[in-house]
Amino acid sequence: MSDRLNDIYPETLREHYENPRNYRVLEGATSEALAMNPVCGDEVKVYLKANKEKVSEVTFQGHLCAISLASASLMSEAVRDRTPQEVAITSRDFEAMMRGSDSIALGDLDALRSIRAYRVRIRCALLPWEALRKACQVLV
Amino acid sequence: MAGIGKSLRPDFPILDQKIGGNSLVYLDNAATSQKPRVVIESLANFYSIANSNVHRSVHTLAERATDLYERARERVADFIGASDPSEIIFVRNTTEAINVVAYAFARPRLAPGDEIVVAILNHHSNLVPWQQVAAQTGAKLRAIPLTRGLRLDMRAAASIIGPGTKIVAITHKSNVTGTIVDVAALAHMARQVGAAVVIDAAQSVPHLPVDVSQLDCDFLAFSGHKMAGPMGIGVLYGRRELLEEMPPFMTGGEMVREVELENATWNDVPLKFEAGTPNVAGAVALATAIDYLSAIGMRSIADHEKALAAAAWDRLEEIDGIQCVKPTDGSNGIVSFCMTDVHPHDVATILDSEGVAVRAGHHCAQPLHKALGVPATVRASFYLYNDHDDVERLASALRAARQFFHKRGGSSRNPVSDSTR
Repeated sequence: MSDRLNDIYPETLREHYENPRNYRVLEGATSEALAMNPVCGDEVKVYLKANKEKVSEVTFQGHLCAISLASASLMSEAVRDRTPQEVAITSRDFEAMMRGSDSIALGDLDALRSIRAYRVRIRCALLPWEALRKACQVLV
Repeated sequence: MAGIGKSLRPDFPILDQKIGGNSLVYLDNAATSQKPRVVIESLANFYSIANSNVHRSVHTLAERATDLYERARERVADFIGASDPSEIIFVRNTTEAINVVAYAFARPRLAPGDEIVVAILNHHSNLVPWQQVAAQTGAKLRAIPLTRGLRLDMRAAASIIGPGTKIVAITHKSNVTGTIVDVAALAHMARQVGAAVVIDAAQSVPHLPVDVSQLDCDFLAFSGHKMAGPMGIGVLYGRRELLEEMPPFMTGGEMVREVELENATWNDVPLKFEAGTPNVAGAVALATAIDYLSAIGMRSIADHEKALAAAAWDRLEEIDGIQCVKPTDGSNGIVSFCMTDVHPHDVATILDSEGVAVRAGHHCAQPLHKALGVPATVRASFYLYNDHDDVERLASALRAARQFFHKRGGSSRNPVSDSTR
């Protein structure tokens, strides 16, 4: 296995790709939103159970590459049981990280830091977060 | 005949490099081809010895530049069997060429109820401009489907092309399936109803012998960069009488004869369609690329790519979980496929780590992918400098991709076949 491959698909990312968390349609979702990547035709739908106080559940489903899928899986865990304001901050910090910022530690989400070296694929990592932001719009 | 395949690699400086420690295998030729040293030098030479504007000044450099530019036009005309060099218009690329036809030929002519016939396999560049023409004129867009064998459905074409048809805009060779369309047969149908035939030849002119008089088309578009020429130069062939009837696409300098403060008259074809300073160096280097390809022979290039694609299909069929997008009558140097459980972009990334450059995605042909029932594919596309070694490298990189995502026994979930639609 080449080092280059392990750089772009580090262990955490591969583990989430192979065993994605919360990959399902959410029965009784309070909101949902779709995001599409025009480059490859990928799409993801993010489902929320949330109110103005708390995002209690996040699930997703779609046509996704390993990077989008791992990003969505990590996202679904990172933003659960947070206030909508906290979700918005994490979402903003994640995007800043993907666009080059090194000032914030994001826990498991840091596994996606390696993707920054592959400019074309940064969009893959951001795709589920776009859907999340849209789904959250009704909360704020 | 000059050699073909590996013996040509030294002509292409870019191929002499390592990607991730492996020698580069370039199989993304349908997106853009690499350029031989003679073409790169041709660009540098133009700027070193002849650079000047064309059709304007009378000094020696201007004469030299104009002569090289017009000789390039003659070379292109000769290459595609156009009898009159003034039928060759230099543009930026295939997309621009088709837009010239859409704006300057179709829009003024079409009326509500008229029909524009396209094909499901068309590249977006030969689809979206026609959607726009339809929206502007009230014309209707109709699409010729594919057969199950991934060929253009000629029986459907015969029923779709009818008295209402004004434009038949078809791709000569698909950039995804490699399917070659029988343009002459379509042109015959179009002639009977008085429709104009517009051919996207971006994937055919670089890879096989093309003769506009045999195709009997009215317009034909292609790009220099896919045929060993530079980026930013492309060609629109148009029948002279149609070009003469058409208003200009863009207006400004060079394309005018006489300008008064409130109006202007147009220059003759082809200059009427070449507003502003053209890409002279690009045209000159395109002629050099045509000389290079012609020395090898377009028939030889086509046969070579066909043989490589056939070998690649054989190899791919040996690999577990590859679904081939393969037309029944051959794919002409293009090999598109999916890998079960692995997204095309991930396949392409893993191949890249092995030094193998392919394209993944919908290849600007979303309606075709919808018809194929997959959101995206991986595409390997061959050219004259590829060889059987490249096929082996592709196969071994695909085995590596298979192994990478199946290391832990794999997952049963298939992100490609799951759908939110």
